Amino acid sequence: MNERQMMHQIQQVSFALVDLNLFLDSHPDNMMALDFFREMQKKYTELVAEYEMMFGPLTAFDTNTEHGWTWIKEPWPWELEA
Amino acid sequence: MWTYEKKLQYPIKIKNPNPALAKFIISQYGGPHGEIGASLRYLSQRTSMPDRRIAGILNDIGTEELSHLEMVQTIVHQLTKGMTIEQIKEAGMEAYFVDHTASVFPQFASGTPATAATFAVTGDTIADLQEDMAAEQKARMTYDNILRLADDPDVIDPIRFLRAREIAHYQRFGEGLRLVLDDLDKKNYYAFNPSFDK
Repeated sequence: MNERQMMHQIQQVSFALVDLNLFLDSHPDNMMALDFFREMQKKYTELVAEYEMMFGPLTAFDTNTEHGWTWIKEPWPWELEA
Repeated sequence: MWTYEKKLQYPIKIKNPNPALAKFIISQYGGPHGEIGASLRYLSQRTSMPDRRIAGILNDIGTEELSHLEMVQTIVHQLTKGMTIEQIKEAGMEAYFVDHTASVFPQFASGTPATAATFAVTGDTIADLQEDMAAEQKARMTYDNILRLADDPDVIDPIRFLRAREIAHYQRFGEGLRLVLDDLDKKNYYAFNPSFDK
């Protein structure tokens, strides 16, 4: 999977989490939403770990400094190359 | 605190510069119904929201709006990056160009700088939630008008996403209002402001 495809997957799973987060704020006892949230949470953690290993950090705190300050090396999301 | 994630909420890749589109889409960056106003309206209201569920909605929608601010900034940036002086003149964007070159400045489509006067933070639970529902509809209306004017599929796609989010947020605020009214005196909702009266 290339960077673009992997980022697209992260965007999809993270969108599910954002929307579930809002729904759960007003429906904190909804079991179906809680189960779905748990499932997406697991997927998100796995995807982010894999992405960061292959393509660089998604947050500054996740930067692996063994390779220097890679945080600013990869394109920013607003850039066309991103 | 907030942590920055190096990704857009929804992908944006605009191939052709087009300052004529950027000129009005910028209104959703700093305009009267724009994303910075939405974000700061909700984040400013959250401390006086007595219901924990609705304080969560304000906090989390206020946070999502920051990622929408970033999306609108990205659209305007990609539409103006590499634009020519001829395109600037054709688009009638000379005034903006003189003040801001090809940067993204929070302003109304009409040129007025972003203003906190559009935020509306009243400290009255019912008034704030009604304001928030109206704000989502006004943002949805602005995106609908942008869609009436835009002709580039690379722009239309992310704008449609942003429009759909306004509707989702409207639903959440509507539920918030219902939760508040359920807890109030049914004979006179306005006798008591749960964020101030004891």
